[in-house]
Amino acid sequence: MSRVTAIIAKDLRTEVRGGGRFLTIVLFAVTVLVTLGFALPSDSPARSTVAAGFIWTSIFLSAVLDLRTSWDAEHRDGMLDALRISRTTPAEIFLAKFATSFLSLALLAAVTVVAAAFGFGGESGKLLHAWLSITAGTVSVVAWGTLISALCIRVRSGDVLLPILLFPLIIPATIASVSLTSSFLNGTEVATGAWIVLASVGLIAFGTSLALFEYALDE
Amino acid sequence: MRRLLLPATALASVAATLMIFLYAPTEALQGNVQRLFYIHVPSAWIAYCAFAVVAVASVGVLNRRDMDSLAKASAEIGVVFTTVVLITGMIWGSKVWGTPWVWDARLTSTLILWLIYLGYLAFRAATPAGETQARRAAVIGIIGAVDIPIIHFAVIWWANLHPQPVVLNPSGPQLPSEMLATLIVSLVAFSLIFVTLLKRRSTRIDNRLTVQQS
Repeated sequence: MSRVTAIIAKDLRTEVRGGGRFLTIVLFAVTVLVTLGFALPSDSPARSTVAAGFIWTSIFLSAVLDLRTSWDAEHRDGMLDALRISRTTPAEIFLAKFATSFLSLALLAAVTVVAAAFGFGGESGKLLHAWLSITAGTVSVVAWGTLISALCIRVRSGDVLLPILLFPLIIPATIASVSLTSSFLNGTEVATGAWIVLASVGLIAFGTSLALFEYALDE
Repeated sequence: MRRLLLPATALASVAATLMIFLYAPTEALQGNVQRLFYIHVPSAWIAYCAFAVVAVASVGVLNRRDMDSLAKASAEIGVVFTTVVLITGMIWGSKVWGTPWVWDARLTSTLILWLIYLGYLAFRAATPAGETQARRAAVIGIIGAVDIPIIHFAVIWWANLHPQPVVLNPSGPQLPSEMLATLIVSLVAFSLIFVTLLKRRSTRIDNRLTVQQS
């Protein structure tokens, strides 16, 4: 675990010193949210209903950017090669990358939920629940996203392939998360089965990605 | 056995065609459009089987077995049959539901599966052929295949517009015997078509790889 925490610490130091890549991603997410807001008339009653979907769209697009730029930087700076020839196992690299990206997306989700509630309306008393439902859904986004990002590093059109491969995989979790988030923001009945779906898909995504990650680093 | 495969496929296909149009009764409420059922359901069966083959072959590739051509061939065939499922479903839905598409769980999950495997083939097309491509594609094939049980249980998880499973219903098949017989013959025919196509396509991929490497 010390190697995992060392990689996490390295990534966090890079983020703090590196000029605010996370802040750029947050700005991107908010920009997407604002843009989507123009998809509906200003007085549309559907705004609060679709807010959860808008949040998710914003999160996913931001996640793709975040994963891609993170892995590109690792590959460009030779960090990936250094990790590979060190005694760090592929599983440790995956765990560290997963933790860093998950933390990043969890923070992003908090900002986006608040921004969406402000812009589209929502029950302020349930924002924490809404954030939890989104964060639970991001487990599968980050797990599979980390794996697929590693696969697409040296691939032609890897930028485009990442969302093409990732988005269909995470849709079952998306449906459950959006359903929960919408329920919390609009004060409607919560489908508790959706939590089970989120947990199941999250576990499957994490387990398969952890097991297969070593093949993503193969030359 | 191999020499019997093509004649058996042809025979089963002719039998299925004749049964679909001459033996199976016309459904009382839906009319002749219901006969798409005998293409739609076997195509869905083959789509699932093909992706299961991709998953198994992908595991084989990661275990250093020479199964990459089988995985690629199966994915290509699976995409074709999933396309048939979606198109026949849309034609059938237009007549029965009054709309070609609804975002219910089963249809949506089939569309997701189709997209996953198009992505798989796009990934293969973007990477140079070789062992690295085979292993990386195998990873995608395996994680794509986890969608298969979600599709099957989607009708159970979300009560929605798509009909409850008629044949794989816990209380037993609800089809009249003539329809059930026609469906079974169609399933056999489609399965033989799949095996024939898989054998030929994987051989062709192997031959092309041998020519490229020589």
